[in-house]
Amino acid sequence: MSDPAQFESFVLAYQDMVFSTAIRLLGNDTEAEDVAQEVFVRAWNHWDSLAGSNTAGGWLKTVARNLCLNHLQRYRARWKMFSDLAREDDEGEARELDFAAPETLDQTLLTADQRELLEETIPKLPKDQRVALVLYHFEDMDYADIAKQLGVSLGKVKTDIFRAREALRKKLQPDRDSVGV
Amino acid sequence: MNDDRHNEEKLAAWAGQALKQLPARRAPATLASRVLAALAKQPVLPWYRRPWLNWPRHMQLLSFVLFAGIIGAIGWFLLPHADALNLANAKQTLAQSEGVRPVSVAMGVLSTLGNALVLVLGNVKGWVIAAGLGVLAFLYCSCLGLGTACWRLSAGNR
Repeated sequence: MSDPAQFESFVLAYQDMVFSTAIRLLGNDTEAEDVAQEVFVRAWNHWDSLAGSNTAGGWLKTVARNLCLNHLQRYRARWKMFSDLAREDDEGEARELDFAAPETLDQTLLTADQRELLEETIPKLPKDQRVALVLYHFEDMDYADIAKQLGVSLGKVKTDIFRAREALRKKLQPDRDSVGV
Repeated sequence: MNDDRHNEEKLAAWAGQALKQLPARRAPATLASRVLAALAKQPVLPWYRRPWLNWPRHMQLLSFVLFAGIIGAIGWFLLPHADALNLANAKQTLAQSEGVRPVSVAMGVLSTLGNALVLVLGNVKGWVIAAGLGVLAFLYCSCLGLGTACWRLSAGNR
């Protein structure tokens, strides 16, 4: 049907991109590797249309994202009944959190250490915050699409993303914790 | 309020810029070999035994055309025998819509089934119909309840 050596080259070319999507959404190396494997198995089943296609990267990214969200959804369903009330209580609290003053946010390039720190912090974020943040900043989805995809309110998505950004900011700039510093 | 909004936008811009600088994470060295091992374990099925969505594109197209042709041919060849099949309305419908013969046949069949249903309902007592509907509703609710219970149990055990 297809050339296995060609497919292996395809896997090697895209494995970092697929794994990155999975690890950032799932926050767990083992689960990310499992999902990445599943993505490539599906790619093999569609190899006739993917081989040599310009859209193969986009296809892989979409499948990886959907598989990760399905994976998260399975576990989410178990706890949804118990955690819904608490989540609803969380909405609308974003404005009460401390903001860093705009002037204090360095817009310069991150150092290698800072990039590493950021990468280490993302998996440690609470799941809802991490998933919303990754979908917004890495998958280029807007708030409404994220809310629809995750089946939560727009307010919750905005709050989660705000908190995630704030957590990252605090991690990278812990000494600049309040407005005007 | 405006300050908060301004700060939030600044924070969003900062986060966006910072996260864009992150390179792709390196996949584990074992990933490619795991994928190939998983593929080796997959049973090698010929294309026609795989789901239709996984068929080669040209075979999907061919099968679609073939299927549409078969359905069209059935309609085409059944029409001359409409009387024998008791499709009373088929010819009349055809006269009104020349060139859409399969549609006419389907309309004729539906019309016949409708007439048969009316005939049956007319000869059955009202309470029998009500009881039948009641039994149907009961069975439907039972299936729904049983299905929900099974789903809850399986979701709880995962």
